[in-house]
Amino acid sequence: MIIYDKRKPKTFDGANCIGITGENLATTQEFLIRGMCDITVDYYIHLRFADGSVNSVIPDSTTIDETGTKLVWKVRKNDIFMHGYFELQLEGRGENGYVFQTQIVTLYADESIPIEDKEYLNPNSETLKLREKTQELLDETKLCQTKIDETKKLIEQSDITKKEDISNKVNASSQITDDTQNYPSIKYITDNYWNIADSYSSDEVDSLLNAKADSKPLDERLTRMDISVNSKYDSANIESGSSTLTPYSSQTGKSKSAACIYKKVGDTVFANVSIVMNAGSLGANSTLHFIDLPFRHNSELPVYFIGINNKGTSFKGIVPKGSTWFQIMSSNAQAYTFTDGEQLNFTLMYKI
Amino acid sequence: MELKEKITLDMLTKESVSVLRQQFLNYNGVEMQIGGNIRNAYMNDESGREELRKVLSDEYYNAVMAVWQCATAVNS
Repeated sequence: MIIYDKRKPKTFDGANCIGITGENLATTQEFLIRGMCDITVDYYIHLRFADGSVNSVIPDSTTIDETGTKLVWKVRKNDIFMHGYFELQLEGRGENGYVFQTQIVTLYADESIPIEDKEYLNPNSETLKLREKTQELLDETKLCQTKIDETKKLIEQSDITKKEDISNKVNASSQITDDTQNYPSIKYITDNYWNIADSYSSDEVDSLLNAKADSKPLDERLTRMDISVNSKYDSANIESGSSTLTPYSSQTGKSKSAACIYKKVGDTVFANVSIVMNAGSLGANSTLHFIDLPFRHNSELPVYFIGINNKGTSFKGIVPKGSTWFQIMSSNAQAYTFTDGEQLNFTLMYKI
Repeated sequence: MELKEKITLDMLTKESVSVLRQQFLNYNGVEMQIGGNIRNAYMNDESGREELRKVLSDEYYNAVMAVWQCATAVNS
């Protein structure tokens, strides 16, 4: 029995070791706390072993009399975590937070207790948690190792010589040094090739081109085909100029001057004729002839035209087919008298 | 600077010819036209030939006549 005067241990009545087998048969340890007679206090026996582990046990019996409180601890093998010296402390907890603790005594747990030092049979909760955590980590480690082994095996089975050399990758055409070794990066492809969303398939191109051709007017298609060199319009087929017209030999005195300004566009001539008359008359069905037009009227049909003088009187004219001359007459089939300087103007358009 | 006249016998056929007259000036080796085009057409008939004789030099007249006379000979 260990006797305490209140908190202080006074005597060790008996052995200071405990054991359940062998020569140190001490399966019961008794404690007497003199001066403690509070019946409301609950007691605990705290144990701390050499490796730092702790355990708390509840006394198997608590007896209070006039001398004090007597506690009995029936030692069980699972109460002891490690043989050897261990520390023991009694604690009492009462109402209103009252706590009573004795001083620590050192006892000895004999080897006769069949426990292993290295492995706890009934460790406390903290140890249990650590064990659980450790097992989890161990399992995870085993899993990682398995994956590493698998990857290693894959690598060993791969032909490393087939791996692309990163130095052969190019981002731009200027980086190409050997087109049998170089390969393109995504940037190269993006810079040099159309995105599939922006490009057309060959069927789409065919469809678009056919629609474009069909939608053009005939004239435009003919123009593009250039079916006739003679009808091709370019600057070489345009000419401007002037012509001095000559009155017919027998009518030379009737006019002061006759001229035209012409513009040839392709095979069409536009001529603006201006005639200044001398004073004189023109019979109702008489005509004035002028020759030397700039071009011959090259058609099987004559060309008729209308002119006017500065007095507003109209005249009509004709360019006969295949001719280089024209004639004019009064448009109302009546005789007309010209005043000196009277001007006649005609616009002719004929084919050459 | 030399001014010279260029004559073009245009659209010369058995029936007619259109004579184009242009004036050119040679300025620092570059030919530049002065004035506009002057053009007259003539028929291969008596009066036309007569007119042509007046306006063309022998060289050009003979060139036209080389075509017209053949045509005239054929027609006759």
